[in-house]
Amino acid sequence: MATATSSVRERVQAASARIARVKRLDRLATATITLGGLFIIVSVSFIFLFILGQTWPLFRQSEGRALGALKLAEVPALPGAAPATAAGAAAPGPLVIGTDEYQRYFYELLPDGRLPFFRTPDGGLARAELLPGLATGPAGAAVVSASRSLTGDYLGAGTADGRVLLSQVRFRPKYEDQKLVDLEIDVRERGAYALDPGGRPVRLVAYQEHDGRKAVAAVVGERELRVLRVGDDESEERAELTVEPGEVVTQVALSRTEGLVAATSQGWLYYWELDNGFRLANRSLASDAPITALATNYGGVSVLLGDARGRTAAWFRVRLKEDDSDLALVKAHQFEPQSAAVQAIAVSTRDKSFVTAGADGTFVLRHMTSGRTLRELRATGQGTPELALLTPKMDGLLAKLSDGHLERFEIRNPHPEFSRAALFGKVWYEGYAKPEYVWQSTGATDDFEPKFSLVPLVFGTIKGTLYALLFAVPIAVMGALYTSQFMHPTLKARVKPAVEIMAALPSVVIGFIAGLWLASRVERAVVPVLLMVVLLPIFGTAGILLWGRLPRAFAQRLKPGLEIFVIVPLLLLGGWVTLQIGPVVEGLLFGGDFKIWLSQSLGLVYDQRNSLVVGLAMGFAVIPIIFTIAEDSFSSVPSHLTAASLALGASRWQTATRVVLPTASPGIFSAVMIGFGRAVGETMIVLMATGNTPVLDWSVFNGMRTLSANIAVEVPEAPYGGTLYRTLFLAGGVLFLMTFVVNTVAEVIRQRLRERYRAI
Amino acid sequence: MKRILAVAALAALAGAAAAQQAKVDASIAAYQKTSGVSGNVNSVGSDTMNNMMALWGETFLKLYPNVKVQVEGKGSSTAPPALISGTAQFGPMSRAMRSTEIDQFEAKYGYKPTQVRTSYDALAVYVNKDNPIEKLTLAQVDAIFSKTRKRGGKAVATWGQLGLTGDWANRPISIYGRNSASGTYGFFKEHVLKNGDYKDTVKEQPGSASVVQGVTEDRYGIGYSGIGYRTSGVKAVALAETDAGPYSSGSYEDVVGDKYPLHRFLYVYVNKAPGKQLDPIVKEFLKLILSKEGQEVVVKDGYLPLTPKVVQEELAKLN
Repeated sequence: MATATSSVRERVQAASARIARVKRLDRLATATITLGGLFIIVSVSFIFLFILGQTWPLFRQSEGRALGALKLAEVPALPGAAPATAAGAAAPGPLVIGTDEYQRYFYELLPDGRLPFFRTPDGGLARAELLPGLATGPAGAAVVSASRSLTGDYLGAGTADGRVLLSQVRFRPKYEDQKLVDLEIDVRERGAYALDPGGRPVRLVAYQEHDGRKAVAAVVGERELRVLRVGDDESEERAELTVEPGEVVTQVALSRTEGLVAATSQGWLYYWELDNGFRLANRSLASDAPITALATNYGGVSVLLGDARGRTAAWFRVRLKEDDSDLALVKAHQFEPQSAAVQAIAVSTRDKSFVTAGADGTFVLRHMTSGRTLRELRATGQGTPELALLTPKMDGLLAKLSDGHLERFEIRNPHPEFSRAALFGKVWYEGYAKPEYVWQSTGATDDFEPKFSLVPLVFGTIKGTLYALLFAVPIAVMGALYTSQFMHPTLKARVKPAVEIMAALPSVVIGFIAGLWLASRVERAVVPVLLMVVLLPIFGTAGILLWGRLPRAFAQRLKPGLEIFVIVPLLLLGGWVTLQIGPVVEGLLFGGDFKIWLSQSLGLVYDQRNSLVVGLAMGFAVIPIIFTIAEDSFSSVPSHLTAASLALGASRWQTATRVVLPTASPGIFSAVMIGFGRAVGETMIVLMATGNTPVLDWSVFNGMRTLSANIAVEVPEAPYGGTLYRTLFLAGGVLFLMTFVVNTVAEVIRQRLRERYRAI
Repeated sequence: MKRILAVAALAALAGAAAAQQAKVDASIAAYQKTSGVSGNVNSVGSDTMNNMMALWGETFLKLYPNVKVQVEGKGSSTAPPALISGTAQFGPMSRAMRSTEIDQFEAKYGYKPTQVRTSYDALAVYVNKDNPIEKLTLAQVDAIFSKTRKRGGKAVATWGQLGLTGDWANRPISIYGRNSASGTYGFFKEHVLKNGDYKDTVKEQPGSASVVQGVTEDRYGIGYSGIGYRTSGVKAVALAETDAGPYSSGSYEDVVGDKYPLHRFLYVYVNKAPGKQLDPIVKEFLKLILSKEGQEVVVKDGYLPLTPKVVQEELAKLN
């Protein structure tokens, strides 16, 4: 009796100890899972915040700050200088201004030919000299016009006696102890040319030098232009051009050494092609007011115009129709107007930004491509701005005011090309016939116009994913249904792990095979591949029908679930047959060559690296995931449901489609969504199997460029902290949001479906 | 890895090298070995120059067995960040540095990077070996690759528009190019497209070898790469600035004599502080590149050696 009670007590104690242990483990598991979950939430939030942190500077405004007006030192009279202008103005202002890239010196060219260099921090005179070549002419010839090239500091000076003096200012850095201590200034002569035989004053001048070739344009009289081109072998070409009678040339500029642009008092814009026999290529009415400022932007492709009413526009030449041989001059961007006449346009030599200086002392920093106003700055001095200059490193703005002061600004403009409109809207880029969505982020030089439209990339991502799912979902889901409901258990035990091993294939291997091997095979057999889409299901169905018609005596000996041994050979036969009849079909339907038929009848181009190949390869990568999850959810349909259905007389097929499929639908849905997530983020397959072509075209016969592949391709080249670098992070953020939204929606739908079928 | 690369490069390029008549000028001095060279040679940059850097590394390693050589080539644009961060002493580039890249370097070090010219390249336009086309003008090449067609000319989409007949006439042209990190991409864009834009249908390949591979596999393909990547599966087309000719296939005389329109220098950028001697290992490596042995490597890799005048100019920069 005593032993019995003690044994009961022991058993109770043992049991409660076991329960306590289980409970402890339970609590431990709960804690671990909660901790793990929290950790995941924290890491995902961290990733999101990191992406946000990297992209945030893109949305920050450009900064600008006035450094105040600087009084420049007196320039001493130099022997040999031309007498000051005949008109007898009190203190004639400079004709052109310039600075070095470190902003240590500031120089100006005065009408009497003096070229003083000032130290910028204090305005003290560093040195002053005469413009080279000035002294060789007849005495008394003052400089009446001048120009400075955007890069290289090539100075052109037009004189009162019809000559143009060319020179170049060069700064050579001097280092001590690896620190920049000073710049050596050197002014060298680049030639002097008499452009007007009549000896009339050169009212306006433009001078560019590029690869040893020079181009000079001089305006004499009201409507006459004299153009000179000097080749690298010193060969000279001259031309005399005129604008329409009644117009007065107000502005002139050169577009590299290839084009000449002139604007007139009537608001007309002229473009002559210098490479093409000095042909007048375009004449367009640009404004109903006199054009008061004109400049070519960095790269020399676009012309920036400012008029007397404070309006600014950018023009460039484009081919409006594919087959046009001539280019049309179009107004691509109209900028926000400012309150006073545009006095000067200063152009950046780092990007496509520029500054328009208004007569009322406002300076507007704008960006050409985006058409945005980045910043407005006001002069601290009283005078009106006469000349303006953006510093070579795009970190400052210098303006010469009518009262003789030098107005200085500091500018920080790290991401001018970024705007939301540029990411998701159509933008009119230089040389394009109309605004478009374009991704083309880099060029060899800084005068390239970066094109950051995410639209083709998002499109490519969706396109690739859809084609992959189109291939993978039917095969994976139906395969899973068959495997779980019909296949012989022994076979099933082998098939499932085999499919799961497919998932172990690294995607770079799949991509490599797809790009280098599959793509060219598919190209050779594109008709059979397309035929298979139709013929293989027919062969499969035929196999099933055949199974049903097998002689009873024979069929009874076969176990159910081994149909596959009949169907698979038939499918293989089907594949072989399509390969054989492919060329015949191609001959009958497509005139012997599908690709030529495609391009001639449908206007589609067959590209070797296309969505078909990507669909196959990426589908192959996605199938195992969808298959496994789908198979699990089919198998986990409670057996009492299927048993009841079968007991009530439903066939296995009816059970599978009417009972199993609906019950398992939440699982199938998540399987497809997880497959979608995998395909959206898939990088290496798309990278290697497509040409990464950012096309906006649903055609299955060309490729795509996905967000993920684009990031992989471009990150190594993106300079840290640059616009491209941050835009790529933004692209990553977009990808993140895409999968996040899709997964959340999927989860919500899955919960709903589960709720609905819980009753069963 | 490096060794495999070098061997593969040699095997692939043996044919190409044999076809070039380029010879290293006899007046370029042989390399003089010095003592006191040790440490690492790290190079990050151009894919076009990847094999050549590896081969120079091999030669250097033979002379100085206790140095370590690492060469990475993902594209010229990867060179400036590596030089700025100091992860590499050598930045091979198949284009000159952009001014913004120089700005960034200068912002960190206070002086500009030093550019050393190492060899000539004739950038070739490749077609499949079965393609009957022999010559193209740059305007035609521009019309094939560009959607903005800055050189004028009619749009080209099929081989027939370039004068091919028969089976080729209606075949669409399948275009291969490099990814945008590549200096070759930038050079081609600047000099052939005149800073226009590539068509969206240009298939961007991660390396020069994959461009050549793509064109080999694609009968109707066309692509561009350095002359050093020529294989027997592709054919380099003769090029001319205008249809007046003369067409040039990029022989050494044409490149040096400025007759081949797409010739360029291949550079190595280094970080040299003004008024200070280069690190001995960096200096010796550059001297090796600019020696007879180094220029023979250039020829072996299928590129074109420097003229004695350029070698003298570059050697002067090292002191």
